[in-house]
Amino acid sequence: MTAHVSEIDLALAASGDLSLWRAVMLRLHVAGCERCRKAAEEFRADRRRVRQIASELPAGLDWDRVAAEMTANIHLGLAAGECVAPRRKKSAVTLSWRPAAVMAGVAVLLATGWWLNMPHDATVALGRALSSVVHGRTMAPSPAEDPGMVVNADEKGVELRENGGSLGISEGSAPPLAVTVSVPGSASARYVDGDTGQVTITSVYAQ
Amino acid sequence: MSEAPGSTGFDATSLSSDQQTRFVNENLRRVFLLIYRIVGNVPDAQDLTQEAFIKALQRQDQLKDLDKAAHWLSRIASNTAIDFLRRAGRVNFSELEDLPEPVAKSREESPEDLLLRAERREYLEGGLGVLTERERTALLLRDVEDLPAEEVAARLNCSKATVRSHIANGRVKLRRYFERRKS
Repeated sequence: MTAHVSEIDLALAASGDLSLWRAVMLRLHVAGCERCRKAAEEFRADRRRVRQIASELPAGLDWDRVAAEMTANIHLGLAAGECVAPRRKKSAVTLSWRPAAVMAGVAVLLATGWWLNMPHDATVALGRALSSVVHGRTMAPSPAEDPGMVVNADEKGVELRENGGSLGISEGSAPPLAVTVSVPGSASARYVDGDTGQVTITSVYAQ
Repeated sequence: MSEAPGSTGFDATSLSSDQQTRFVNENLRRVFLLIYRIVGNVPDAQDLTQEAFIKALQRQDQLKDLDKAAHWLSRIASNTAIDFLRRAGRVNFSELEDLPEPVAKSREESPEDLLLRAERREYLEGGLGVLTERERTALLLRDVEDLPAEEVAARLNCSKATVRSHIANGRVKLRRYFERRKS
């Protein structure tokens, strides 16, 4: 290597600001070049000098007086700033996460206890209501949960059921001869009196 | 610049008056020197140091990590000084000559030591005086504050390549100045 390293590169190398490749090349060159090694060391020494001088107070400065003056002015400036600062809005009461977590736990416990002690029908209805809130739409109850008005015909007669109550029509203990149930929601039962042969038809309609 | 904020046990979000005083006392010299080296004269450095502390203490809520207090304060200080240079233009270094003669501060130093120190200081301050504002600021932030070139670039609002150029030019100018003084 005959050409010397540029001053700019030597200056940057003093603080490790050269790119990796250039730094390697510089190290290789400096290892064999007395002049560049000396120049590199001078740049490093200058850097140390600057750091040293920067920590020293300016010549002739009465630091105690200047520091006291600045400290007083800083306090004065802060006090003046407080006087002219816009009034802060009262912030809403904020809870730290610990009390908030305890309160949330207690709330969950109470809600679970209440839920478990509710009547079954109310639990189902509430669950449906919550589900509709969550899904943002009204959900129709499933037939298994709430069949609505039901007409029924069996060996005892015909019956109308709604909301847990029922109204049945029968002919004493005599079973019907035939029962029919129609899709629109009606049920009929036919009875035949064994002695007189009289036929009685009873029907219920769901409307 | 070895003073660090230390182990101040203050609550950063609301400092009492005593805590503010402690915070100021522990950092005042360091911040003053940083600003002084950037702007180059005592009266401006004094004003800007006050301004930097007032800004910092008015924004205490931004100080979350006390370990980073020194860095945070230095950033406010250097930004305050850089803004001042931008507003005011070139710094007048002639004010250094108007300062009174050095006053003995330490009883441990002999008159010869003091003389040597004063000479060295004058020598180096003269060297910093030949640099442009941007070269000097880049050099001080890189060499004294130990900030990486990227951070210096961010503070000076320029590219990293420009900062490297300022640093290199500054060091070369200083070297030439020292060589001239030697000869």
